[in-house]
Amino acid sequence: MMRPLHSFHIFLLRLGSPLADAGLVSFEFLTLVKDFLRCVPGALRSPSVILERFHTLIISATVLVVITSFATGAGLALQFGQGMSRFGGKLYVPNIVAFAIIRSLGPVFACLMVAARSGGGVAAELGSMRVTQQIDALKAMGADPNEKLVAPIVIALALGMPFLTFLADVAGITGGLLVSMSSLGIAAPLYLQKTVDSVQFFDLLISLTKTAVFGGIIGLISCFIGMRSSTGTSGIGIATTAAIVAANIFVLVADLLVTKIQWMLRW
Amino acid sequence: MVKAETTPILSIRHLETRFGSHRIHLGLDLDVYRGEILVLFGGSGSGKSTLLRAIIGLDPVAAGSIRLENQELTQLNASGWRDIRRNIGYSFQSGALFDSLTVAENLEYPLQEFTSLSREDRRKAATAMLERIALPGIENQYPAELSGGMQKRVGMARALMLNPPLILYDEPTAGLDPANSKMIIALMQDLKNKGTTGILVTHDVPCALAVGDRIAFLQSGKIAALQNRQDLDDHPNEQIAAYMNGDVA
Repeated sequence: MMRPLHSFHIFLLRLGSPLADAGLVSFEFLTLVKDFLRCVPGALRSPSVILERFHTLIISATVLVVITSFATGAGLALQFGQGMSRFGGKLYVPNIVAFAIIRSLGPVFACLMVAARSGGGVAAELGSMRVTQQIDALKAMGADPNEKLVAPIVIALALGMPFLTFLADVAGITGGLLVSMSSLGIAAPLYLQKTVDSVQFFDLLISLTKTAVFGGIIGLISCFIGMRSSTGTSGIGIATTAAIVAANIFVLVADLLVTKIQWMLRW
Repeated sequence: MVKAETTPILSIRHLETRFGSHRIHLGLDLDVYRGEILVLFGGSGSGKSTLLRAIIGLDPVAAGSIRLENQELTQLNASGWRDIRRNIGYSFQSGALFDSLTVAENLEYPLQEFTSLSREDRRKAATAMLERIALPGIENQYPAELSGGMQKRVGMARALMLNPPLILYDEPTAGLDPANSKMIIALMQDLKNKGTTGILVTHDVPCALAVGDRIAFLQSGKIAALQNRQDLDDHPNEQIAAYMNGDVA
């Protein structure tokens, strides 16, 4: 958009310090968030584009998320089974696995995998489009890149993350179940009963809701970094790495904060 | 051809642009008249492409005025820009084709964005445009399957799909073989003959002399020299002549 530079922007430019750079980046990220919200109605008018993104960003990540969560649940059951057998507490393994997977590990691992796989892909794609002037071409033809590119990606990730998280939860509990049956001698009906007893619907609801928000923010971070990629092929690589790192750190810190809030509110 | 009494289609006054703290243009003034092709010469990094990008709103303007047919562009909001961009074609140096779309889909994109034409009519228009640029039969190919010269021609064709009255050409012949350059020059001449105004950024002197009506030389953020094409042969401006002779980098 060609408007005279925002006075706040110019003020920050004149400061010329790392603090100003950080301020500028924050300002530009918030501008992207604002532009995304403005573009949501327009993007929803093209559901086929969102569905296409849903397929490439969510459906294609399903196997990765399921394998990761399955292995995490199985590993968790093995570790706790081995450790708690010493104290005669192996019957608590289903409760621990279910509680940990549904409240934290399922959502976190699903988000980390999507941030790495799909977020990195988004940053590389948009970085490449920026370097080859395709984003400029979109603007020059009167289209809004936020509506055509950013909004469908963010919406698809926000809608798809709860779906992936649910699959991750099921896969993680299944992994714990199989290990408990084969290595700990816990029968499947008992395992499932203990799982149901230890997790409330509210836990699942918070888990799915937070991943919707996390998914949207992973999308925004990836788009933001990709669209700011510096020119040249190395710029695309740097943007891809930066997007994955930033999204992963965001997921871990945000989940920690949500967990702390849940703890404080005794949810 | 330039007429002194003609009202300019594009008028730039006291333009200032910058990247960070580095100033690109410092009080640049320029008028472009209807139906002419104005050539912008200048050394690398002198701000020629940035000027085109500022005109179409891809780069921000720090100060000054850009008026297109009496409409101030520096004050436009998003919807205002959308209307303006319908009337300005931008031929990118690299072609800037969407690599996930076929050639025909690339050409149809402006029509899809700005018109209510049916899919069939859009395809017909794309096919006709490909014939016009002598590249028939490549509708279903992807940009990666085309040579650099073909990509540039398709990129220029995409800029023409809406018949804009003003076209910004960013180094359209750079890196092309003589045959492709000749085709691009012929296309620009054809457009000029049909009354389309153009601003041509180029380092290609034969191309500039073939299609340009006026030659401007950009230096130190301003238009340092401006001369009609006809006067260039008999009384060349010193700075422009030095640039054309390769004495200015």
